[in-house]
Order: sequence, then structure tokens, then C-alpha cells
Amino acid sequence: MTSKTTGTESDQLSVSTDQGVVPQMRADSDAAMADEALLGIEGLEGSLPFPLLRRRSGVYTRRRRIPYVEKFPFSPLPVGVDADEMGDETTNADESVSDAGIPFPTPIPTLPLPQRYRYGTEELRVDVDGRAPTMTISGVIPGGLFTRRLTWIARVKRTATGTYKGKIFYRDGTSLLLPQTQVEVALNPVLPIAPLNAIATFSGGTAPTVTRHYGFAHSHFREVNFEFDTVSDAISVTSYDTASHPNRPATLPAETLTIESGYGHMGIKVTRSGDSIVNISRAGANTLWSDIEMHDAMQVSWSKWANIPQWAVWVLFARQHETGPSLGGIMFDDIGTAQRQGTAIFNESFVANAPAGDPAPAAWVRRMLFWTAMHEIGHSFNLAHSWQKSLGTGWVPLADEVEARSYMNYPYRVAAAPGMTPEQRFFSNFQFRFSDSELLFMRHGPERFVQHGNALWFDHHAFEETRATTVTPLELVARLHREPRFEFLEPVTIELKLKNITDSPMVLDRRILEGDQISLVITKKGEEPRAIRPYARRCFAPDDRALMPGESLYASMFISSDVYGSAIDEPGEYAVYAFLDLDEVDVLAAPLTLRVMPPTSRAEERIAPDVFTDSVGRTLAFGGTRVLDRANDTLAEAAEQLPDRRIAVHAQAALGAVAAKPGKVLEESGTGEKRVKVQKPDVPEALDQLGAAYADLDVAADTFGHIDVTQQVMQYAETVKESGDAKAAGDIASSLADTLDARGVKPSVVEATREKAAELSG
Amino acid sequence: MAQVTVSLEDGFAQDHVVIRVDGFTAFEGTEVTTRLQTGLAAAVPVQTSDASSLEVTLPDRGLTRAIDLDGSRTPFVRASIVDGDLDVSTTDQAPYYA
Repeated sequence: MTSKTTGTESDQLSVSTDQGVVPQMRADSDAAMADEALLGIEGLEGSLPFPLLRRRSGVYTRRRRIPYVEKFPFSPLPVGVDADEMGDETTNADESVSDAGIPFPTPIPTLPLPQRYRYGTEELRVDVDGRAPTMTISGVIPGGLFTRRLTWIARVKRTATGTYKGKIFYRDGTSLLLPQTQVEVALNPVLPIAPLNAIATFSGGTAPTVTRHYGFAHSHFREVNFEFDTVSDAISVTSYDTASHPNRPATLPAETLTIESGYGHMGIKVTRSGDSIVNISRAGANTLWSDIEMHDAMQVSWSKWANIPQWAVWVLFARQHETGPSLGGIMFDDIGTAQRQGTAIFNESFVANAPAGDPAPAAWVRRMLFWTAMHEIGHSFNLAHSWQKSLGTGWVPLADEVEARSYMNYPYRVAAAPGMTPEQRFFSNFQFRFSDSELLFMRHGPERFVQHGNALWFDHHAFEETRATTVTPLELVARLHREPRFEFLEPVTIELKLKNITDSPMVLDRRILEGDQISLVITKKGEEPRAIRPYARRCFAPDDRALMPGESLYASMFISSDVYGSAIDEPGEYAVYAFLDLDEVDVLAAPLTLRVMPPTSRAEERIAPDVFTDSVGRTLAFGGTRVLDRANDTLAEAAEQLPDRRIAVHAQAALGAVAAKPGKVLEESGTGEKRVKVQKPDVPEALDQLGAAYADLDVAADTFGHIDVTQQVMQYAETVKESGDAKAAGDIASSLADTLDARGVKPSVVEATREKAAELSG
Repeated sequence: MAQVTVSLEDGFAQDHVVIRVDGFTAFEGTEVTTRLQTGLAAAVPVQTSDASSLEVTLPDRGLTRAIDLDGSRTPFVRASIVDGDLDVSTTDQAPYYA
């Protein structure tokens, strides 16, 4: 029999597509049993009351329709809450509620945005029967690009009505996705005559009760690929006949346990990939293995090697580690960023030496080799030794299990008994299993903790994972041409670069980086992400051009504030995420981290509330104003009081830019009549302000960025020329060219600036 | 003379460790750290006599334990830090790790 994975169209019955929620169901009612046969999980379990009742533990799923823009604050949904419109049955239907059961806040005015959707799969993980049930129900609710998926876990008890009910005691991710505190699950049907399904009712807390329907997907809790490679001078042991050694529990089923079925019994479905032989003939005299050598061998020999999180493990059967025969095996892969992907078992080690007088020495050795393999692979699931559970930061508070009869305990470390060595006592009641706390972790722990190659420290993991695993024809970079430390009050402008990384020309809108397809999100450490909604979006006629291989487009983005207020203001660390929404794929930039330094004077602290206002933000974003007098007053005050700070450079540039040229101003007369008036330039004032702003072009290039400083300084030079001093204008442009050249700007830009300088001088 | 293997096992974390045999320093290591996959930080061979005094010290933690041993009968010493205390014991069985 074969086992299918979930999510294929043929597996699903569309139950309520109009509601955006599709419980996923297996069409074949034997699905659970098929899975169990493959997993080695017994279908008719002694813990079930009647032989006709089938095992119902496993993963149930439903699909969720998730609005594509739900993450942004301009959506009417609270940040982080995915929406399944009318996807749940709620107890107070009159009230508008989100999928999580939270009343929607009053919508704020929004700009019309096209609604786009993607689908995510929500899981309900039921662990109440079968082998070693932990009486746990957990779930995974998918997050968005900038919201973390939620893993929740509840310990449950069977109720008098046959449902399973318990409190949700653990959450990892965006808690708002499930604010209720209790879950009660009904599993249907009891008899093997129809597809399994689950109805979960979430209640408690301040949110309304919601009920969700799930279809049975599969019996296993994880699916992982193992590859067994064997060094040419070693042997591999991947199975053990549980009846072959007389020292065993009387209740231990007699079977040939394989590594696959051993993990299958634990709810972990194992697939295998191309086992191979590692030829050691060229290794010379030293055929012992170091960790680094094994890590290198893994990258060469393992068909699935990738330095990313994946449900896959490489198992190497080798002769001996360089430590010597005292090391029976090791999960050697604590090297690099994607760890826990490689393990090794050494057959020429202590596990090969049965104790003198053992009644079945060959079986003893085979059992130890099998135990070692299961043990090392257990480490790759992030399981600690039984006596180490309380060390470090556990995913939940854990107690040491020094006497556990678990694959993760050392048989020779438990307490001895009269007439029995520790190892003899261990195997006398070892059921070839993991402990309950280990099963809870493997079956229900957040994927990021359990999955091989994943890492606890992956900040903004969902975004990073998406970026790392998405292959796109374009490379998007968000960058600065300076140290990423900004003075307090200093406006932040970043540069975006979009490069064609294929071998073929690509046709793109020349201003694609300035339109709606670009989105920016900023997170301040420890706070929710917020999208940047610029004060203005430009709508250009399409201007397609061929972007040649290796060629790039550039744009600058002012990100200090937007229509929602200040985005970067308080001191601290910020991460800026940029992505380009192409029709086929999103192009994601690596996050750009920057830091805002604390204020250095009382004067900065005093003026900060006036600078971090909508009017000043708009003025700085647009490069000046003729109508927002209060903003101009604040900028003038900043320039005067903080002459050595970079806010003064921005203030002078903005004040000088509007003073340099005539500009139209809409005025309203006393009778309500609106008319356009042209405000005359004040060239002396402009020259004063701009001269101060661009006195140090290196500082100006730092704080405005290369794109903006080039544009602004050339305008300044034009103003100087119009004032009658062509030589000075040429000198300014020439100095700018020198500055850009020194900062490594593209030669073509430097050359164009020099040509402009010559033109101004002439 | 007999060779004794001193296994520094659980609980070491960037520790300065000194092992003395009969008052003489036989081993001094810094940043001794238990590798959690194996429960072993270091296995240190030292030479002893049939009746030696072996002392394990972590000066930065103020921990010291001394034991008397007969290296020919119990050639293995295991040292761990358990609940903040240094636990040192002898055995004739080679300790194993996995």
C-alpha cells in the first residue's frame, strides 16, 4: 500500500469554497489504515474499546483563504490576523468578527486595493489513541509573510460524550491567530465506514467561541527523509529483531523493527533516499572520522544536502570516530547555520563488545547498534539526552528523566538493580520508544524547533525562509551607502536596486521600483511590523525597457514616515524589508538592518515631538513646502539649534529648495474663492540654505543617499548658475562628481556629472 | 605507573579546569565545555601511581574535589557538575558516549 500526502486535488472534497474554507478530506475511507500500515502503526489498538474502532489520531487539515494584503496596517484587520471571511461558526453572528473571533476595529479610511488571496493549510494534530498517545491536541495556523505561524498545544481528556477537551497551554507565534483558551474536539465517525473528520470548538478568553471543521489528512505527525550511507570499511545495522535477545520486556511485541518502522511507531513517517557506499580506500592510513570530515562527507555524499531547514537526515555508518571506541555514535552536525542534519554510528566502538557472559552476544551488539542509530537520529530532531532535559532553555519547562526507558537515555547510565547491571535493567523494560515528553515535542513542538536544519535564533524566520527558498530571475537589494547608524532625528532614505540575474534580457517597466508593485515593511525590534504607505504614489505611463543580463534599476525611498506617521523615530534597531510584487512571483530583498542612536542633547529631545509630525514628515519626503508654515518653522529651528546634526542638513536642503524656485500655491480668499498664486523665489535665502546643506558633500551623500544627493546638488548648482556665478556652479557639480567617484558610484554616473559640470561652467 | 582517563562530562560551560595528581598539575584547560550531543567535554589521560591523590579544580567557580585512587584497579575517573557541585568518582568500566 502507498501513502499519499495531503493537499492534492483528488484528496479533497470541496465543502464550502464559497466561504473560503475547505476542509481537506481523504476520499478513501481506508486512508488512516493505509498510513498505519506504512508507518508500522497498528490499526487496531489495545487502548481502543472495541476491535472495530479505528485509530483516529493524526493530522486533520482545512484550507484557509488569506487576503494577500492582510498584514498591512491599512487593512481593516488588525495586524497579524488572517481572515477567512465567514469561515467559522461563531456564537454571536451579529457582530463582525475576524477568523480569530476578534471583533474588527472600526475600519480606518483606506485606499482601494485589489484583493488578492493565497491559500494556507491549517492543521489540527490529534494524538489521543494509537501507540503511545500523549493525549494532546495541537494545531498550526499559517501566518502571513510578516506574521508568524501559530503553533498551539492543549493537553486533553476524553469527556463523557466521547469528545476530547483541554486547555491550550502553549503557543508559539502570533497569539492573535487563536485567542481562545480551550479546545474541544469531536472525531467522526467512530466506525470505519466514512472519511474521518474533526470538529474543533475553540472557546474561553475574551473572544467568542468558534467552531472549525477539518478533514483527516494522514496518520503521521511528521514526514522525514532518511538517507543511509555506509563507509566501505563499515557495516550498517538498520533493523533489529525484538525477540532475538532474551533480556526484554514480556510485553514487547516480537517484530523486526527497522529504523523506519521504529520512527513510524512514534508517529514519524520515514521515506528513504538513495543509500550509497562511501569509498574510504583513498583515505590513507587514518580511517578514523572527525566531525569536520563527516560534515564534509555529508555535503558530498548526501543526495539531499542543502544548507537550509528541511525534514531530512543523513545517517553515516562508519567504523570509528577519532575519539576512539568510547564513542558509539554522534549527531556531529553542530556546524554552520543549518544544523542537526547529519548523524553517524560507529560499529567498531563499545557497542560492538557484548559483556562477558551475555546469553546472546550477537543480538546484544545488533541491539546496541540499532539503539545507537535511533538515538543519534533522535538528536537530529533536537532531542536532548534524558538526563539533560532541564539544561538550557527548553521549549517548555522540562524535568530530567534520568531513569527514562527512552532511546534518548544511555542504557548504561540508569540505576542498577540487584543482580542486574544498569544496561541489563534498562533493556529489561525498554519498549523501544521515546518518552512522553519527547513524543510531545516531536509530534507537536513548533516546526522551527524540531525540523532538521532549522534554528532557534532565526529572527523574522518566515520572511527569511521564503526569501531563501524562492528562486527568482531578479535580485532585489535594499541598501545604504554608509554605516547603518542614524543620528536621532536624522531622516532615513534607502536605495533599492533591482538586478537581472538571468542570462537573458528581461522587459520591465523602467520605473517599476517607484510604483505600487514595491512594498516596504519595517519592524522595530520587539514590535509588530508595519508597512510603509508613502505620502504619494506616482502613476506613470508604462515605460517598458529591456533590462539586460547583469543590468540594474535603482530608486531611493524615504522611509522615516508615511501617511500613518513616523515609522522610524525612537532609538533602537530596525529591520527594513522590501519586496517586489511581480505577477508570477514575489522578489524579496534580504532585510536591511539599521540603528537609530539615542539623542545626544536636551535640544534634540525638546524638538523631537515637533519633528516627528505629519507635516514635517511630508515636507522632508517631498523636499520642501511652501504652505506648511509650521513645518518650515520647525525645520528652521532645527537648523539653528542643531547645526552640527544631520537633521540640520535635511532642514536646510528643504528650506533652500523651495526658496530657490518660483512655485504655485493654492490660496483661499475670504469669500471662499480658491486661486493659484505663484510664490516668488528668494535666491539669497536659497543660496544660504543650500550652501550650508551641501557644504560637506560626503555628509550629504551619506544622509541623502547617492541618488537623491546627485539630483539635489545638481539643482543647487543650477540655482547658483542662475544667480550669475557659472564658475561656482561648475565647481559644485565637479565637487559632486569627485565625491561620487570617491564613494565608488558607477563610472557612468560620475562621468555624466562631470559633463554637467563642464556644461554649467560654460 | 598507570594511565587514568579523567572524563569531564556534564555541566561544564567555558570553564577553567585544573587536574592535579599528587599535587602536580597534570592538566589545565580553559573554556572546557560539555558537548551536549555526547555529554562529554574532554577525556584527559593522566599518569598515576597505585595510590595517588587526584584533584579536580574549577578555580573560577570555587569548586574542588579530591579523591584517592588506585590507577591500576580503577583506571577511569568521571567528573560532572551537578546542581552546582563537582561530582568526581572512579570506576573500572570505561564510560561510553553516543
